[in-house]
This record gives sequence, structure tokens and C-alpha cells, in this order.
Amino acid sequence: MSRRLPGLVYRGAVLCLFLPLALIALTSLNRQPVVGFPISGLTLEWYAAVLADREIVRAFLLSCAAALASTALALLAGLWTSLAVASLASPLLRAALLCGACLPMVTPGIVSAISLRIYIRLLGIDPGLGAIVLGHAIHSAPYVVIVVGARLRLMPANLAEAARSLGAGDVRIFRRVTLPWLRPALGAAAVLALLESFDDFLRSFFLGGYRPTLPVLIYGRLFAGLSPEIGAATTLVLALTMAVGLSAEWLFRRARAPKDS
Amino acid sequence: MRITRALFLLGPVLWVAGANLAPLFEMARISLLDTYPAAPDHVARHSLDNYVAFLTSPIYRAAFLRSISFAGLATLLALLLAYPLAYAIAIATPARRRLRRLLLLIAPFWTGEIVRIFAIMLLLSNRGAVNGILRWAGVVGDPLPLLYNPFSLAFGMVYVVLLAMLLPVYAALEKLPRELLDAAAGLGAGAWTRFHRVTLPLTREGIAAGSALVFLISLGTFAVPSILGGADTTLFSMTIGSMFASSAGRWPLGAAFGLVLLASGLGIAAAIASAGRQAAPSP
Amino acid sequence: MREKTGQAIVSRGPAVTRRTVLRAAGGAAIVAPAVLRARPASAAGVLNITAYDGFIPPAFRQQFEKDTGIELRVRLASSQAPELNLLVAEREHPLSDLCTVTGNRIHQFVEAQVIEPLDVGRLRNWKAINPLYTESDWIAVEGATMAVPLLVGAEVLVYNTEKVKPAPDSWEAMFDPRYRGKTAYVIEDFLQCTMLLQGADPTFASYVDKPEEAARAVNAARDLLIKNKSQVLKFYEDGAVLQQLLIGEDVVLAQAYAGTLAKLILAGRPIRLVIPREGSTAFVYNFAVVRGAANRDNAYRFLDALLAYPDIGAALSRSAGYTSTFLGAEASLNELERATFLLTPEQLKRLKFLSYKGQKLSSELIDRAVAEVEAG
Repeated sequence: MSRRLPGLVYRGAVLCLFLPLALIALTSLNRQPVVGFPISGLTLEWYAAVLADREIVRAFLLSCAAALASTALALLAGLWTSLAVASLASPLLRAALLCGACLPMVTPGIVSAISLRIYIRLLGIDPGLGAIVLGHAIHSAPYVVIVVGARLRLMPANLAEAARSLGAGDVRIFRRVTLPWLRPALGAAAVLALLESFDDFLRSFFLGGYRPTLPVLIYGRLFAGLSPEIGAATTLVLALTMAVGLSAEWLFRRARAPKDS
Repeated sequence: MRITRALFLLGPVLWVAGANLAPLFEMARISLLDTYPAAPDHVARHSLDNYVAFLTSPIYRAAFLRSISFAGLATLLALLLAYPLAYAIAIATPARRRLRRLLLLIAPFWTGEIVRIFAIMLLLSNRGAVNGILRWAGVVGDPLPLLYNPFSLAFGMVYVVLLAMLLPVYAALEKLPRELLDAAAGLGAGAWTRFHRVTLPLTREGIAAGSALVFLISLGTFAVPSILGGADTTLFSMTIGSMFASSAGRWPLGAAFGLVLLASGLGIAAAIASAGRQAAPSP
Repeated sequence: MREKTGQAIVSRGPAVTRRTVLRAAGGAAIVAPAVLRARPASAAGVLNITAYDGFIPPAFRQQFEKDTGIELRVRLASSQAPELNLLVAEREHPLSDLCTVTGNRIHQFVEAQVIEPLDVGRLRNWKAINPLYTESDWIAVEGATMAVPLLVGAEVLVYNTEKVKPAPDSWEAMFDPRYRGKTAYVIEDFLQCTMLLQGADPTFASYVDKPEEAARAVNAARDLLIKNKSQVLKFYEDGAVLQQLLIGEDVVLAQAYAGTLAKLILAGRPIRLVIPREGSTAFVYNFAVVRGAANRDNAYRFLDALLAYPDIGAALSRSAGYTSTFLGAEASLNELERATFLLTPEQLKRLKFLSYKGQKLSSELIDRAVAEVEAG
């Protein structure tokens, strides 16, 4: 029984996570433009409408671009900050820098979004993709700091010491010792940052121009209520994500296969 | 040497000052006003009235405390659900299948918070899937009230933040030196002892990181409580939101409350972080 | 990093390493902005509009862009609060030329100085709008007309015809114990409906010089709501949420904006609406010119074109879900559409439109009462 338990736990989690989305997919086949049960008839017209809707496709691409760029920036800023925090000797200074670094996470979304909108005007940045990337990175960097910081604290001090005694400089130690140790944390932080950015509505709404990201577009269309078209768009994004993720994983496995054997 | 060190620190300091602190100054200034946006003929008054309003009003204090306990509960639930799940993938799954299982779990989170919240409504409403199945199976006659109450709020919250707890814990579990567990087993330690004497302490940092993340996210979350909550689950983040949404120029109250939430969030996160601190283990 | 073994050189398939993926992602991120950059503006220029979804009928938009060569850029908002916040945040350098404003919030937009008075003389087709709306006192501020009224939204009592019998005709139904825990409302609006039930003036027009009387009326409404809080399943704010409440049958009786329900009724759900006999409040959706608009001429051309034909009004009804203010718009609506979108004369008689003068007083009092009902 205990041998099968982990498998059950996993499958139970997958079921719980996917079930609501399966319902969205089901109702997106509804002939009437209403999302709910009972379903009156089946049709694929909403999926056709989504694929033909240039606004949705553009918004999706914009969301992807913003997510990738802002995650890169957040990883850079967050990693650098974590290293800086770890390098400080005084616990007071460490706490101060850490608090400052985590500020965007504790700021309520609407406060943060409006402040940033006013702030970028001071910096002379126009609303648009650049401002969105900056806003998302500011919001995601604390995730990186927290997750990477936790992992950094666990790094055995003697690893770096040993490398140093063998004559390695700081940069070498970073590349060959610290970075590999931090890899799982960086991966986890990257996933969280990508999702935060892709999902983000408030900052994208206030910092964007006339090209909306996907959440902003969906929110705008919610004025008339939830529609099967929105459900279809969501289902397509889910299908696409799974396809990309699983095929990337398959490629990774194939590339690594020689090592395993 | 000291110059490179100073330069090394300069980057984060500039980032913190310029990207995190500076935007809040304008909000802090607004929090001291009496009304904003103001009519052109209005003479602005600066004061701490808005902060006093928070401290002296039982309504706002109640919403604030509700938010704190809600965030705490969400963190606990997320931990109780995410840890076994992370364990199932990190330890109990052969290495070659781990990434695939993880990716499958992450996929739903790409679909956007708002739509997922509406999806939960499809699941739990009186004409939703759960009630539909229960009634079809004859288990219940009338639909169960599963929505717009603390249950749906907790369900929705965990549904949205699960990954923020799962990933840090998974990262910690995956890199757990398996030899330690084998050695402990060899010394005669049972499964439970191995877990709470070896696994749990070594993943403390992961738990702390995940808890800090989930707590802070839940403290500031707006969409889930607003849509899935009931008539008596008003949270402080919603109060702040309604200040900015009101038609009576109440930005200053919203800004002040936002800063209060910010300060409390930082304090609590700092407490969680120091609780998770441990000396680096030596091999 | 590749292993220096013979097998890796005979690589089976593409050598996808983490590095190449990161490179590709970084490259995509750098290239994306160029790919997604806006096309250069045409000679006739652009027009930037911040509007609710459906307020610019798609066919009209295409025709307008073709006829004038003006590029329409639309930013969607779905409620007044975020829209106002956005306009205030960008007040110094506004990014839009036109925006959607609702009659009950107009005083806030005016005070925040984000909209400017309309130059009615520049609109040849101004007379196409029913004078009932153009000569009202909610878009006229100190002699200036502030916006173009396009659609009428009335607050209605909505009910599930299978679960609520007999068909209700009074706001009293919301306090009927038979529907305990099955109702929903927007606190801000339902306070005014309750005031109607109690015989007070929800437009606040008669309280302008009598703030204590206004406060008494609001408090009476607030107290009734707090006393009957167990009737409510949920306080909502977005129409989308109410739609799901009704579809999911968690709520069988609610206060709502008429337009929210159009889709459900047309889809054949057992949902009907009524304007209770005590009356109800209504407000108008308008387009206003943003203060400091960069493309003012194009804005007026657009507004004039919008008002040019009555069936554009009908198209507006279909895409937004509300009653049109255009004279003669009903001519092109079919039977079911008329039942959904049209306000009959009896219904119009029961409606009270919110006045501008009363708004400042009402917003302060109502705001406070909302917080108290929420917490009580």
C-alpha cells in the first residue's frame, strides 16, 4: 500500500488540478455563448474564432515575450541580490537588504501597479512592452531572492573553501561551484517567475499601451461575461503548454540517453 | 579588492533603491493627503489621519486580522498538500520520469488565474460538476453549498498558490543526499524516524522559502477572495482595492492601508525566514 | 556540455542542451519587440480609445477605418475603477483620446480632471440622440455637456423563473425568507434600491442642501441590509460573476444591471428581469473626450460617425447588451432583441436617473455605508 501511495498522491493531484480546466474545455464546446451546464449542443466554432482572432494570438505572443524577458531580468537581479545578501557580514545589513529586495512581494498589487505607472513617467519610459517587462521583473525578483537565498544558505562552506585552496578565483568558484549548486533553485525560481509574468494582470494593465497581454485582453472581454471563446483560448494555451513542455522533456531525455546507458 | 566588493554590492543596492523603494515614495506621499484625486479647487492637507483611521476603526482592523489568519491558514494547507506531492515526485519516482511528472503538474498554472477561478465555479456550483455527480449517483438530494464560503476560498487559494510551495520544497527534496537516508535505514531507523529526523530537517530551508512565498502571496491576493469568497469573508486586500475603486477620492486611505499591509508582511516574512535559518550541514 | 565519447558525436537527433534553449529564448525575447512593433501610423492618423468591450461594434469599426483611414486603437477596460485609476495615473501625458464614462461616476472624472467638456457644435449628428438623455442633468455640468450618451443601463431585479414564484414586482422580494442565502447584489447599488423601497431619494437630488436628511436615509437603508445579511450569498461587483452565479443556480434572485443578463436571456436560460414598482435607478454609458487628447479632431469625427445612423445604435445594443439612446434604433431589432434591449414606456417611467449635483454627497455617504454593510 505504502509503495503505491506516492503514485496515488500524484495522480490525485493531477486530477484535482486538471478537472476544473477540463470543465472549461467542455463548456467551450457549447453552442450557446454561455459557460455553464447543461450544454445545449456541441460546436468547434469558438476554437475557430480564437485561432482566427489576431488580437488573441498577438496578445499570447506578447505575454510569452514579456515572460521570457522579465524572467531573465528577474533571475539576474535576484541572483545578484542573493549573493550580495549572503556576502554581508552584519546580520542587520543582511536583513535590511533582504527586506528591501522583498518589498514588491509584500506590496498590494494595485498599489504597486499604480506606483509603477507614475514612476515610469518620471524615468521617461513609455508604457508598453518595455515597461511591462520592467514591472514584471520587479515583481518576480523577490521570488528569485527567496528561493535562491534558501538554497544558497544550505551550501556547505567548505566547498568554496576547498576550491579556493586549490587556487580558484572568485569567478571560477562561482561558475564551477556555486552556480551548479544553485541550479535546482534557479530552475524553480525561473518557473515561478515565468508563471507570475504570464499570469499578471494588474501591472500589465497599468503599464501597457494599446497592445494587451493575454490576461489583460481576457479581462477586458469579461465585461460581457465569461464566454466559450475565452474558454477555448484557455484550453488552447493549456494544450500548447503541455505539448511544448512534454516534447522539450522528450528531447532532453534523448540528448541525455547516451549518459544513462 | 574593496572596490570590487563595493561594486558587487552596488548593483543590488541600486536595484532595491531604484526599482523597489523609489516607486513607493509617490504612494507614501499620497497616503498623507486627505483626498485624491482631488478637485482643482481643493487645498491639500497632509497628515497621518489615514493611518490613525486604520488603527481606530474596528472594521478595517477586523479585515486586516482576517487577512493575516487567512494567509497563515493558506500557508499551512499549501504545505500539507504540497509536501507529500513533492515527496512523491522527488523521492518516490525514478529519476527519468521526474521531469515529465513535474511538467504535467506545472502545465495547468499557465492558463491564467482568472479563468482558473471561474473554472472552480464550474466545479463547485450548485449546477457544477461535483454536485452533478453527487446527485446523479444519488448521494445527495439537494446540491451541497460548496461555493462562496470559507471552503471555496481555501480551495481556490491553494489551487492558485500550490506551485509556490511545491517548487521550493521539491528543489530541496530532489537534492537530498539519498545516502543519508540509506545510512539511516541501515542503522535501523523506521520510515517515520527517517522522515522526521533526516528528511524534514534537511528540507527546512525549502519549507521556509515556500511558506514565505505562499504567505506573502496570500496576504496580498485579491482575485480569489473577491470572486470565490462569501458575504462575510472580506479581506484587507479587498478593502484596499475598494479604496482605489471608490467614487469618493479615497486613494490616500488605500495607499496608507497598502503601506500598513506592506510593513506587516515584511515583519512576518522576516520571522518565517529566521525560523527557517539553519547552519549549513557539513558532510 | 557534450561528452567526448564516440556515441555523442554520432548524436541521435538535435543536441538540445540547456544552453541552446536559453540562447533561443533570449534571442526570441530580443527579437520579439521588433516583430510585435506597431505598424507606422497612416496619414490620417490614429485614434486611441479606452472603452468597454462591445462599445464599438466591429462592423462599424471596420467601415470607419476604411472610410477615413484613421487607425483605431482600443484599450479594453471592464469597470470604471481601474479605468479611472489608469487615466489619473497617466493624467500628465494621456494615452487615450476617448474613454467610456458612466453617468454615475462622471463627477469623479470631472474632479480628477481627466475629461474635458464636449464641443457639441462639432457634432452634426447630436440630434440623433433622444433628447431625454442629452438634456438631462447628469451629463451637464455647470452648463457644459461632458459626454455623449450612448447606452442606457438600468438596475433591475433578476430572477430565476423556475425557482422564484410568483414573479416578483418589488425590491421587497430580496428580503423574502424563502430565498435566504440565495440572493446577491452590488452593495453600492442595492443601497440605493433599498432607499427607493423605503421611500427615500436615491438620486440625492433633493438632499443637496440637506446633508443630515441624506445621511439618515442612507443609514436607514444600511441598517436594513445589515439586519438581513443572512439573505445574501455573495456581494459581487462584476457582471461576469453574477452570470456564473445565475447559471450555477447558486443564486436565484439578484440586483443586477440589465445588460449583464442579455446574453443569458437570449441563450434561453430561465432568467427574467423586472423593474420593480418602487422604481429603479438608471445611468447612461457615455463616451467622453480625454483632457489633453492628442487626436481631438479624429475623436469628433469618430463620434459623429457613430451617431450617423440609427442602426448603429442597434448594433451597439447587440454588441454591448444595453438599450441604445439613439432615436429610432429599435427599428432594426427583432422580437427577442426588443424584449431584451428595449425599455418600454412603463419601464422608463419607473426609472430615476442619477443626478450630477447629488453625486458628491452620495458618494461619500454611500462609500461609508458600503464598508459598514460589508463588515456588519
